[in-house]
Amino acid sequence: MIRVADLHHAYGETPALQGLSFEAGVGEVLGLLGPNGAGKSTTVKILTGLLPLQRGRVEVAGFDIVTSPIEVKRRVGYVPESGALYDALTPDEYFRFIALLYRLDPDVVQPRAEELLRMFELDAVRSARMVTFSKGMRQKVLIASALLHAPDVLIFDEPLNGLDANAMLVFKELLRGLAAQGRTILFCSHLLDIVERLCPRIVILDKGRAIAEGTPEAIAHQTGRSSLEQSFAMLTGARRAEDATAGVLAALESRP
Amino acid sequence: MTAVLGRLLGVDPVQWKALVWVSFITDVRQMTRSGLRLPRAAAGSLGGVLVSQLLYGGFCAALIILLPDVFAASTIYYSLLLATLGLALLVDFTSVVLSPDDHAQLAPRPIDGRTFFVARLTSVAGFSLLLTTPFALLPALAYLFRDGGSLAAAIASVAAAATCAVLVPLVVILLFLALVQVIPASRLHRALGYVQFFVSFVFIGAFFLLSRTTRALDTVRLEKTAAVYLNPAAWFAAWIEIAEGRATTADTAAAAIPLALLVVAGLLVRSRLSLASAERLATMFVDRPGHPANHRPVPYLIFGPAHHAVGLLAGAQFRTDQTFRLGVLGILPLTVIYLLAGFSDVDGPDAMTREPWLVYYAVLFFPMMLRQFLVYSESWRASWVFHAAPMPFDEIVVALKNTVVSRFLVPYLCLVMLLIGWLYPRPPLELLMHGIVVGLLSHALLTADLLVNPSLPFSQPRRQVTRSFALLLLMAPTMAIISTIPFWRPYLYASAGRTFLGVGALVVVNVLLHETLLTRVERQSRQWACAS
Repeated sequence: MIRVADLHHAYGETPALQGLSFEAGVGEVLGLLGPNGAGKSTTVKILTGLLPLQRGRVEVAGFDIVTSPIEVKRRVGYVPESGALYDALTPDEYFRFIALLYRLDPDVVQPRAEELLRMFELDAVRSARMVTFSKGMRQKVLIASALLHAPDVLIFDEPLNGLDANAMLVFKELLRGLAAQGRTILFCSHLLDIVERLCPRIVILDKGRAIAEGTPEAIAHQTGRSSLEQSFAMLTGARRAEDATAGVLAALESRP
Repeated sequence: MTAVLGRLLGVDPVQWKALVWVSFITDVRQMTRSGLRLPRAAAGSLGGVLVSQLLYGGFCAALIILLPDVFAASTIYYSLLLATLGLALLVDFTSVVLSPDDHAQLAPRPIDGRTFFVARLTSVAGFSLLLTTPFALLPALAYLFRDGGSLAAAIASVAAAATCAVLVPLVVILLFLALVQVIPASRLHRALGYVQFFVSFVFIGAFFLLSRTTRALDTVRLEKTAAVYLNPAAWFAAWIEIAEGRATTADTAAAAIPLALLVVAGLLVRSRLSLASAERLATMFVDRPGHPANHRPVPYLIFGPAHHAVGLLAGAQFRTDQTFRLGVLGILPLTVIYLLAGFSDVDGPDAMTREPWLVYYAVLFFPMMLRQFLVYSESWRASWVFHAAPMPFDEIVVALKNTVVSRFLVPYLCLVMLLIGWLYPRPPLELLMHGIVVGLLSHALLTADLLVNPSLPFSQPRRQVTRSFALLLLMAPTMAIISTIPFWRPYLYASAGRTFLGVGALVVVNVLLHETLLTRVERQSRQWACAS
C-alpha cells in the first residue's frame, strides 16, 4: 500500500507540492490525475526514490521512504514517463541488468522474463539492440522490466505512451490481474478517459494539492457535472474548450 | 541582396535563409551540448576542433619553412588538408551534409528541391570553410615569410585552400552516396570512424617522430613526374608553383583540374543532394531488429551484482558508441607513441635506455579519463533506474570504479609492464613490484577522482566544461607523481624491506581513500536527485 501525508516539495523557490496527502490500499488501482505542472511527476519521483523527500511522510508497502529506502525500492516496480532506457542493450541484456540491480535469482527471473517477452510479443527482438526499437516497443520493455521482480506496488507514469491498440488491451487486462493479486497500483496519466476506465478511485491534483478524491462518479456528483471530464475542467480552472479555441479559429478564418 | 541572389539561383530566399539558420543553430547547439562530433579522436568541442586544425596548419607551416623543396612541402600540406576535410565530412556525413532526419522534418513542408539543395550546399561549404580557415592561416603566413617567400604565394595558398573547402564537400557527397549503395550505411559510418581515427594517429605519430629526426627533413624531395600529379594535392601545390613563377606545363595543366572538377562535381551533386536522397538515406540507416547479440554468462566470482550490471552497460556502450570505443582504443596507439618517446636518433642505437615517463602518465591518467567516459553519456536519461533500484548508491559508485580497474587498468598495466620489461630490461621482481606500485598509485588517483566528483554510471549529459575541470583538478597530483618518479624510485627498490614498506603505505592510502569515498557517497546520496 501507499500512504502519503502532508508532502511538500519545491524546486528552488518554486513550490511543486504543497501538503499533498492520499492513500492507496492493497489491491487497489488509484488514478493520479492533474493538468501539466500539477505535481504528478514530482509525487511519483519521490515515491520511487528519484527525488529526495523534503517534507512530509511517505510509506510504501509498510516501509518509511526515508528510513528504509532500499526496502521500499525492493517492493516497487516503476515505469517512468520519459520512457528512457539504456538502448545500447538488448531486451535480454536489459532484463539481466535489472535482475543484477535487484539481486534476483537468475533461476527465478528467467521464466518470468520468458513470459513477459511472450506477453508483449517481444520474443523475436529479444536479442536486438533497443536503439532500433519504436517507442511502443521500448515501452513494452519498460513495463516488463518493472514486473520482473514481482513488486507489491506498481507505479505507472503514462504507461500507455506509444503502445498500439493490442498492447493496450493486454496492458489493461494485466492491470486488472495484478490488482486482483493484491498489488497496489498507482496510475498517473493525463488521459481522462483511460484513467476513468481503469481506476476505480481517482485523486485529482492541482498546484501541488489534492483537490478531489473518490470514484469518477462521486467526483462528478460532488462538482455537479455530468462527466469526469467536465469536473476536471471545472476543478482545475480550465477555460471552456470553446473559449480557448475561439480566438485561434477566428485568426485562422482568413486563409492565405 | 539575398532576394536578388535567390532569384538568380532560382531559390526561395526566405526558405533558404531559414534552412541555413536552422542548420547553423543546430550545429552550434550540438557543439555546446555534446561536443562537435567531427574529429572524434581529437578534442571533442568546437574549440578543440579549431585548435587541432590550427595545429595541423602549424605542422604544415613548419614544413613549408623547413623543407627546401617548396613543391614537396605544398603537396604534403594540401594532402593533409584534403584528408582532414574529406574524412571529417565523410565520417559525419549524416549530421553535417545530409541527415536521414531531413526527409521526416522537411518533406511535409512546401520546400522545393532547388532551395533545399542550395541551402544544404551553403551549410556544408560554410562548415568546410570553418574547418579550413584555422588550418590555412599559418601556412599562408609561412608562404609569405619563408626564405624567398612572396605575397602571391600566400594569396595562392589561401585561394587553393578555399577551393579545397568547396570542392571536397562536393566530392564527398558523390563518394558517400556511391559507397552507401554497396556498403550498409551504419557499417560504412563505423568504418570511416576507424579510418579517421587511424589517420589522425598517423599524423600525430609522424609529427612526433619528425620532431626527433629533423636531420631527415633536408633530404625530402618530390620530383615532378606524372605519377605525382595523380595525387590531387599536387594540383593545388601547382598553384603555388605558378604564383612563385616556377610552373612547368604540367603544373599549369594540373592547376586547372580542380576548377574543372568544381564545375563537373557541382552539376553531378545537384541531383543527389535532395530530399529524395535524404529519404533513401533514412531507410538505409534503419537497423533491422532481430540482429543477434552475443550471450555471455556473467561470471560471479569476485565482484558483486552492481559490478556486473555496470560492466554489462560498459560493454554494450563499447560495442555501440563510436566515441566511447575510439576514446578507449585511442589509448593503444598513444601508448606506443609514449613508449617510443625514449627513442632518439641523436643518441645512437642504445637510445632505448631512457625509460619514457609519458607512459606512466597514460597509466595514471587514462583510468580517470575512462571513468569520465563511463559517467557522461548520451543515454543519461535512463539512469533513473539506478535511483529506483534497491541498490545502495555507494555500491554502484564503487562498481563504476571497479569496472575501470578490472576491465581496463589491470589488463592495460600488464601490457605496459610487459612492453617496458621488453624495451627497458630490468629484474623481473623489480618490474613486478613497480607494476604493483604504479597500479596502486593509479587506483588511488581514480578513487580520488570519484571522491572529488562522485557520480553514478552513465548518469550525466555530455558536457565538455565539467569534464575538463575535473580532469584538470587531478592533473596536478598526477604530474607531481610522474615528475618525482626518478627521485623515489631508486630509494623504493633499494631493498625488499623498503619496497614492502612502500607498497604497504600505498595500500593504506588506497583503503583510506576507498572508505572516505564510501562515507562521502553514503552521506551525499541522501540528497541526490535523478537528473532525468
